[in-house]
This record gives sequence, C-alpha cells and structure tokens, in this order.
Amino acid sequence: MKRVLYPLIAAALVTIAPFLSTFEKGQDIVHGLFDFSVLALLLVFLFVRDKVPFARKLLMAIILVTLYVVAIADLQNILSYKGWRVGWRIIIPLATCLSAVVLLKPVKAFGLHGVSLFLFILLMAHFYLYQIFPSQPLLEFPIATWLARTASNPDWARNNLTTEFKEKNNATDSVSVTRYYVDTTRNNVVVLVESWGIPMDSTLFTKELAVFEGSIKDYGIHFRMYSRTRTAEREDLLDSAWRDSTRRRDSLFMPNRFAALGYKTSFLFGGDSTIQWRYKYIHNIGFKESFWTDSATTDIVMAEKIDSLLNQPDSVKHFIAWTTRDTRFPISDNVAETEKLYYERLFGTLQIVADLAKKHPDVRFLVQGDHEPILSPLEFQRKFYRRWVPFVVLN
Amino acid sequence: MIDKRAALYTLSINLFFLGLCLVFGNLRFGAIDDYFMSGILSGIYGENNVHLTFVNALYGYCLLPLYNLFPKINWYYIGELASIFISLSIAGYIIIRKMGERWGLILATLLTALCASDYYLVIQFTQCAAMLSAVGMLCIVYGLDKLGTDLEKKKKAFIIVSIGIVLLCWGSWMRWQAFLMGAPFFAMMFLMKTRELRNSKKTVLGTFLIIFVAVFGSHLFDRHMYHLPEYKTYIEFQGPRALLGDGQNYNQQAVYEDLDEMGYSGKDFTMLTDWTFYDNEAFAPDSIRIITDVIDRYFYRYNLQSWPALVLRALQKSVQSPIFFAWMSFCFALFVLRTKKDLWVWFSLVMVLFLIGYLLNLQRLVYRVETGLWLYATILTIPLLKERSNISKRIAVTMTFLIAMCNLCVYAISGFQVRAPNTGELVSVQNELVDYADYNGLQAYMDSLSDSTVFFMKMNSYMRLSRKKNPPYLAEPKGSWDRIYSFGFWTPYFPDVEKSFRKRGISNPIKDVVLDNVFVIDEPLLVDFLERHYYDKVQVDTIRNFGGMVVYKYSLVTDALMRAEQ
Repeated sequence: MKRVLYPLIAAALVTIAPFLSTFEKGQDIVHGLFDFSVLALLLVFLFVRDKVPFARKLLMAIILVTLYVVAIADLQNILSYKGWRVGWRIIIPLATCLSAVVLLKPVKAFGLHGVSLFLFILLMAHFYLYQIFPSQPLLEFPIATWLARTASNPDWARNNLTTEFKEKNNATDSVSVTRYYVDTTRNNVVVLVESWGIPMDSTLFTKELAVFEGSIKDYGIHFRMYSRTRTAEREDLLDSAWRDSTRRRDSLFMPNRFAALGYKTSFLFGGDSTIQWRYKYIHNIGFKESFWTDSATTDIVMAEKIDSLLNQPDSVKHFIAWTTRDTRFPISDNVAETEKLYYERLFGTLQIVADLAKKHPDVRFLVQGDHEPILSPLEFQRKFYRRWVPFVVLN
Repeated sequence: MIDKRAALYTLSINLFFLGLCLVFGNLRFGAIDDYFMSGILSGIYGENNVHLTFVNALYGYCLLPLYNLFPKINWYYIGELASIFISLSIAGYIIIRKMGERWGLILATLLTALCASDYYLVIQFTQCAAMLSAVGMLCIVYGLDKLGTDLEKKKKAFIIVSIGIVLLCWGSWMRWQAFLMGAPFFAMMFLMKTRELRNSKKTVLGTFLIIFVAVFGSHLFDRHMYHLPEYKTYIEFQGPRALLGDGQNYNQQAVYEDLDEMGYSGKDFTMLTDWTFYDNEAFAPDSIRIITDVIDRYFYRYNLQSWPALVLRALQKSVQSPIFFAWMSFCFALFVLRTKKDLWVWFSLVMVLFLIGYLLNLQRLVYRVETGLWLYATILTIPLLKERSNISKRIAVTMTFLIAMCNLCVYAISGFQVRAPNTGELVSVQNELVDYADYNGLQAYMDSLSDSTVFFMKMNSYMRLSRKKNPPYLAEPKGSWDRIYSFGFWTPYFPDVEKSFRKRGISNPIKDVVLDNVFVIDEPLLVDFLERHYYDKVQVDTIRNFGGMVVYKYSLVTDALMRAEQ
C-alpha cells in the first residue's frame, strides 16, 4: 500500500502546491491532481535508486533535473493563465521536488513492469473518469500544455495589430472611409491602388507615405472585410445603407449622390470591362461614364486621362474613381523577385498619383489600397498585415 | 486437427451476436459509398461492372458468379457481413487457443460484443478492410509463432498462416489504405516476437515475400483496370474531387479571394466545394487544376508543437469508443498474465497516437478510421497473450453469460442506435428514417415520364434517395439508377454513367439542364452559374414538390442565344 500511496502523494505535492500557492478567489483554472510526467519520473527515480547497478548517481541527477524542469513548466502554465510573472515562485517547484524525493526515501521501488502497470492504470482511470467529471481531471499533462501554449503561429502578428501601431496610424475599423473625406464643394478623385497593403516593416510604410509629402491632409489605416478588388471598389463608395418600411435593404452609393449634386461621375480602369465582371456592377453603383481600354494600360496613361478630364474647360465638377493596375498580381513565383518588382511598381504608381495631386491642388484626392498583396507566394504575403490597408487624403 | 471445442465456442459466440444484430438492429450500409459500389457491381446502370473504385476489382470478380446465379441477392453486402463474421470467429478461436477455454471464452465474448454493433450494423468497406487485415496479421503471427516453437504441428501452422495471408489479401482488397494503416502494427509485432521467431527466419521471410507479391500484385492489377481509355477522365477527376469535396485543411477564404482576383469566379469554387461539379467544360479536370493549384498554396501547416495537446484531446474522445475498451482490457490481460510483454501496451498506444496525429494534420480523423487503428492495436495484442492459472469453470461461464445477457438487453432496448461512422457519436437510425419526403411519389413520377427523361440530383438528395431503396441484402435491380445522376458524389465521369446519359442526348450534365428531357431535383441555384458560363438568360420553374424533394425545370428565356453558338 505504502508503495502505491507514497508516490501518489509525492506527485500530488509537486502538482498541487504551485496551484494552491497561486490560488485566487474566483479563479477558473482546470488542473489535474497528479502530474503524469512527474509521477512517471518519480517512479523511474525510485527504480534507478534501488535497482540500477551502474551510473546510479548520474541517472538520478538527470531525472531530478528533468523533474524540476517539468514542474517549472507546470507552474508557468498556471501563471500564464493569470498573466503573472514567475519571479521568486521559481523556488516552489524546487522545494516540492526535493520534498517529494525525501518523502519517497522509505519507499521500495517497483520493477519496470510494476511502473508500467501503475502508469497504465492511472492513465486509463484518468480518461474514463474524465468522461464523468470533466471539471476535475485526475491527471495533468504539463509538457503537452506547455508546448501548445508556446507554439508560435506565423500568422498571429499579421492578424492582430498592436494597440500602439493602431494609435500611431489612426486606425479605423470602418470598412468605408471615402464618405468621411470627400468634399462636395470641389472635384474629387478616389484612387484605389491595386494591392497596396501595410508592410509589417514600418520603415517601408513610412517611405511609402513620404511619397505624398507636402500634400497630405490626413492619413490612416482601415480594415477590409475581404481581400478582393471587387469588394474594395464597391464597399468604399457606399454612402449609406438602410432598411425601408418593408424591411427591405436599400443603399446609396456615392456616385449617385454626387450625380444628384450635378457632378459628372466617371470610373477608370486600364483594362477591359470584363475583367472581374466590372461591366456588371460599375454601372449599377451609379457611374454615368466609364473608361476602359482594350489592352492592359499602365497607370501613367490613365493618370494622363484623369488629368485631361480635370483640365476640361467646362464648369462641371467631377467625381472620378480610378483603380490602378501596375501592381496587379501574379508577379512571380520567386519571393525575392516578387518583392523587388512589387515595390518598384508600387512606388511608381504612388509617385504618379502624388504628381497628379500636386498638379491639381484644388482637387480632393483620396488614395487607398484595395487589399494587401494576395495571389503571391505565402512567404511574401506574410510580410503584410492581413485585411488592413492604408488611406491617404491629399489636398 | 482443428480444436473442435474452441471452434464451437467461437462460432456460437459469433452467431449469437450476429443474431442480435440481425434481429434487433437496422440492417444498412454504414456509408453510401458501399451502396453505390454494390450497385455498380449489380448493374444499376445496366450491366454488372467490377470497377468499384475504392474496393479492388478482384472482390467484384469473386462475387460475379454469385450475382449471375442469384441476381436478387446483394452479394457485396453478404460478403462484407461474412468478412466480419469470419474475422471475429477466427480471432475468437485464436484467443481461446492461446488463453485456454475459460479466460479465452470471456475475452473472445468481450471482443465480439464490443465490435458487433460498430462492425455489423454500420458495415463499411474501410472497417471490413481493417478487420480482415488485422485478423489476417494475427493468423500470420500466430501461425509463424507456432511454427517456431512447436515443430510437430507444422501442417496446422501452415494452414493458419495461409488463412492469414488470404484474409490479409482480402483486407487489402476492401480498402488499400486501411490495410496500409495496419502495416506499422504488424511490423512492431514482429519486433516483439523476434526471440520466438529466430528459428524460423526462412519461413518468416518466405511468408513476407508471399504477402508482398499477393497484396501488391492484386493492388497493381486493380490499378491497371483503370488504364482503359474510357476511365481516363474518371481517374483524373478523383484527386480534385476528393480535395474539393472533402478537403478541409486549407484556407478556403484565401483561395476564394485569389480566384476572384485572377478573374475566375469565387462562386464556382464555392459550388465545387459544395459537391456540385459535374460540368465537363467549366469544371473539366484541366480547368479545375487552376483551382487546385491555388489550394496547394494555402494548405494549413500545423505546428508540431501543438500536436501532443491535440492528440491527447483526440484520445479523450477515443475512450468513448467500444474498441478502446477492448484494447484496454487486452492490455490489462497482458499485465495480469505476467507476459513480460507489456512494452506492447506503450508501443501500440504511441503508434495509434502517432497515426491519429498524422490524420489530425490532414483533418481526416474520422471515427471509422480511428476505430480501425485501435482495432489493429487490440487484435495484435492477442499473439502476446498466454495461458495462466485458470479460473473456475463456473466463473467463466457466468461472466460469458453476463456479457451476453447485458448485450441482449442493450440490443433489445437500443438496437437502433449506432455510432456514426464519421463522428462516432451515438445516433439513432430511427432519426434518419424520419424524413417526410414522398419517395414513392417521386419514384412514381419518374416512372411516369418517358425513358428518355433524366434526373440530375443535388448530392445530398441523391444520397437520401439511396437510403430509401432496397434493404442492403437485396440487390438493386439492373438499370434502376439508369436515369438518375448526381451533380456531385464520386460517380461523375464514371463510364457507365456517361454512357447512359449520352444515349439520351446529354453531353454535359450541368450545361444541359436546360434541355427538354432533363429535370433537376433539389438544386434551384444553377441560374447564376449557367448565365455566367453559357447562356444569356435562364429561368427555373418548380414542377413538383414531393414533401421536400423538389423537381425543377431549367429553361432558356425566349430569344436568349447560346453564347457558345455566337
């Protein structure tokens, strides 16, 4: 009896002491009674102590160190739930491990088969009891918990912006920002820069913003529901949405609003209207004019087109939306090459827009990304925050 | 030569449990796949066909003579039942022989009792394969072991080994992957038995050679069956089909967005993942490759670090399955009998957990596969058991009787409850029967239309309909599914299916739903797809509603020109 009970008590001591010493009223941490690896190590320790004829001291020392490490892992698991630091508490596992060894001094060791049976019975008892009492497990598996807890997820940082970053960059959760910055007293140009995301390397982002130096009125970052050009083209031009008396959904898009104010509304894209089914919805969201080109046309040409629209001698005011195209993916399967070409083209397009804005200081420009780079090697995609894009208000 | 008492015991145990299942259980296939495989074999598209796809064609060839003699009986199902019965009986026989009549009787009864519901009532080719292969391996190990220790009974040992090889082959026919899954356990068992087998190295090697040739030979033969030109598209489509239909281990949202950005419709992708893909132009195997290439980029890569915790959680769930209890009992027996082979307990546990981890990584951990793993671990524990101090006859008989009676009560009260082959949760078959659709009305309506009419069904309705046809032991009449097809499932591009709708003037299932002789059941959402790919304007009308099974008719709006013709 003593041979069974003492190891159990010793294991429970190592398992429960850190739990109790950090216990707070109202805490809700499910923790087993016996640490499985601690119990296994203690049983093996006894076996080595009593039955191994060689290298006994060395083996015992190794087991003791392992025991201590496991106990620390368990302590850290508990503390991580509470957000506490380990600090001086590191001595708790040391004390419990040493007392466990002392406690087991008078106990006779089991043979290997005995150890095996002991652990097997406990393991099975744990799993079956767990079906009945899930709130109080018999065993604790600290190593598995520790490994899972400390596993790093490469996508975590890009999905979760830090508060500092959000505050510094005027982050808004709103999916459509255009309506807050358009100016109903003058010409407006809304530019959607293809695949302009927010690089996780903040110096690069600063460099991108620096292109617009001199004309920036406001800037920030905002969230997209989906990473698609089509979504961005539509949702950003949404002025308002409501339900009418019959609960039917209805919405007003900005081109319609501006058309009602006497604006000429135009959409430009340097390509065919069938690409991404634009011919189906551009008209639907209210653009009276749309400019397409038969073959892929670079951003510089389209910028000239906008320039000529704005320079028209008539007194009509313009509301122009333009989706750029130079940075369209796929670019390459090679990460380094993708990165090089992407930034080359992106800075090119941003410069074109900045120049256009400088040329027309009386026109309100709203420049934003449609989505972060997708359709490229995953390794490259991971360099950008997921679903966040920058926006810049010029003039 | 054969131990008559042991054989009698094991047969009566197995007959008792088979009887319980037949009397109180609901006889049905555990998976619809079996229904259609048996259908293909019995000729639901017109002719008997042995191209069963998941099960080796040799199984089909073996059953063909029976189908010709008694075409009314579904021999595929009888074969599966027989495989379980034979396997469990042989396992029981070996248990009794190894442990003596008394302990053996109890453990053999326990094993059969714990397997009966999962294997007879939810019969499924994957489970049959695991059961046959496991018992095949058991026979081989047991026979070789006997040969190594007891040279006088050479002939008997050889017979047992041969039975093992036959069962192993049969298992590999029923499902190749389920057989492969057992190979690590088999190898581990030989490691445990090295001492006993050291005298019969040549025989062991010879046996391995025979197994290797027989098993891989029949597998290659089966693969070769699909090299015919008419099976080319069918085989080519299997990979994308499995990935799109069953694949869960990739970032679907990212794939959708990438496709949209490339100018393909994300909606097409959603259709494909919803098992609506029988369109041989828009969704031809080479067109789909663009989509599967994008998927390749977004497979989830699991962090190895989180594996132990995930596997422990899966183990938590495994504990609820009956076969786990069998494994545990057999492991206890290893300890109690002081076999000194208790290392097997940990070996087999680690191996099962490793394979569970592997399947979790693929997000393909389903109950029928998981139980297969535990079954291998359980059955292969048997060769390590041995005879030891006997209990009194009275205790043995009482225990056996108790197990039998408990089961009798359980089956009588809840024989309709089975464990779902995917989740392992206890489900009532009765619940599934509560389906208010008027299948007889639908059938009568189908029969009332001319033979040139065809029906395309949404996959779920197609599978539901199959449940309402004949009970599993009766074969579907020839040609009974000749006019009914699904947009999904694994039958698209199957040559018999293609042949039967082509002779009715249809060349592309989804595109041709607008033809006069095509009706669609339970799929009213194709308009968007048809207008995006083929026609200017399509309309869909409800023709009849059979309590939830709705018959639709698609048609072109007048003057709409086919874009293809422009």
